[in-house]
Amino acid sequence: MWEEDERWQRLLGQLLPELATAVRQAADLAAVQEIRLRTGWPVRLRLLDNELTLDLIWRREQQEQQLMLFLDNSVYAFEEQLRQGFVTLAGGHRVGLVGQAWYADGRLGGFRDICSQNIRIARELPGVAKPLLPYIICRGRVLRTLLAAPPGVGKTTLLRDLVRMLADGEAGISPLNVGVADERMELAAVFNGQAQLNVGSRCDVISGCEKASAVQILLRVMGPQVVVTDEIGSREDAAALAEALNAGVSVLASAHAADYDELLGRPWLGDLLRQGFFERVIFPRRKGGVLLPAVVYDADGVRLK
Amino acid sequence: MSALCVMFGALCVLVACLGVFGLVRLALKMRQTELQSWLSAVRLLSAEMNFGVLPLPRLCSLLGERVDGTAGCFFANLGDELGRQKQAALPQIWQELLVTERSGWHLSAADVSVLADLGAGLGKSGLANQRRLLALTEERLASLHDEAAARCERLYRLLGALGWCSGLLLVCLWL
Repeated sequence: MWEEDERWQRLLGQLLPELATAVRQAADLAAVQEIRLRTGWPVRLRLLDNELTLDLIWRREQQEQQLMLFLDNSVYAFEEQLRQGFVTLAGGHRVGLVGQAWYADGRLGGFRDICSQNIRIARELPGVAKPLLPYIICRGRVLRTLLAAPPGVGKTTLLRDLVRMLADGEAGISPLNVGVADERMELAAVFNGQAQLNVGSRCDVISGCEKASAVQILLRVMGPQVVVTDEIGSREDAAALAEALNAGVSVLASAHAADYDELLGRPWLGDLLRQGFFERVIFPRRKGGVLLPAVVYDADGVRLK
Repeated sequence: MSALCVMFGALCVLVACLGVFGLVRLALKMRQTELQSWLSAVRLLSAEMNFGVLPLPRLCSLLGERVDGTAGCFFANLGDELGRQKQAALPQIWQELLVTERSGWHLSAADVSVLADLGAGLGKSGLANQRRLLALTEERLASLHDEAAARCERLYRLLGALGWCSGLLLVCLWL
């Protein structure tokens, strides 16, 4: 796996020289969370607790050159990711991009004339999910668990660390084979066939594939003991998770929601909760840089914490 | 002694004429071979792009290993350059490499212009458009190759005969 410094060096090597120099000179790299490139505007860095505007106006041709650099001069190889508006880089960093949308065969074909790129810096926080383990593991078994929180709290970070601990045997039980359905390529950030973020040594990842199909494939071919997926919500997702239940496989998943009532109000997710599919529903909260299980419910919707 | 010198001189004239026309013959043959190499490279590129959807730096290395001749060498060098100049755009590197390497090739200006067009569009669009670009390039290269083959067949013997005839004619005129 990548060391933080090495991860940064990889990213700087993929930036246009003027941008790499400006970023390096402007801030402590450890504090940089995002680099925002908007055509015609100065480059901005989002730091841990504030924002920094650089003395570099981002031009249109720089936007194009930078994108081609990220794409390894091969737009066709990233077509599906571009359609979804992001690109995963070596080191696990993720570039979100938007511009003028175009459609092909009735579906979003991608974006042309890219006007904004948002480079999100990948970071690993090993051990961050430890406080969740007592709620997730019961009598040596991984309970079917849903992590729910609004965007930006750290659900994906928690989920990734849980995967790593389960796959490496750091969760207080025997190591497990974990199957990850990583549709948005955020959990493992696979690049050139290798996970860029540490998801453990017994982990099989399907990237960029619809969650429902990915879960079915994992169940069919990889024999996982735990299936993990991010941001569930659709009918197909619910059906695929139910299939995991039938196969006797544990499930870890995440969803956007501020509280339990909001989850119950969701069409398919609410049904899963009412049926008692999830044995634990955990709402994590960030407290002083640490992620803690703030609110925990059991399968009957009874609040445990 | 002088008869020997005359015979040696005549032989030299004959060899020189055969050599000059032989070089022209070789250039014709080499153009055909080089076009064939490019044609194979474009076909392989198209197949690998479709089935593997690998990014160009990896495709270049692969083509460098699997295609013989001029095109294989070009793609191997292109892969190296892309690895070395990570922040340069592919069309720029392609163009620079084309200028550097074409001095050793036997391709015509029209052939090189097809390759320049390929370099200008390679990697810049989605898979469907890349397929169109490669199909068009293949078509153009195939047509140039056929033309080169026909030309080679037509002129190959003629140039051989011209070498002998001009040599003998010069020797006769000299004597």
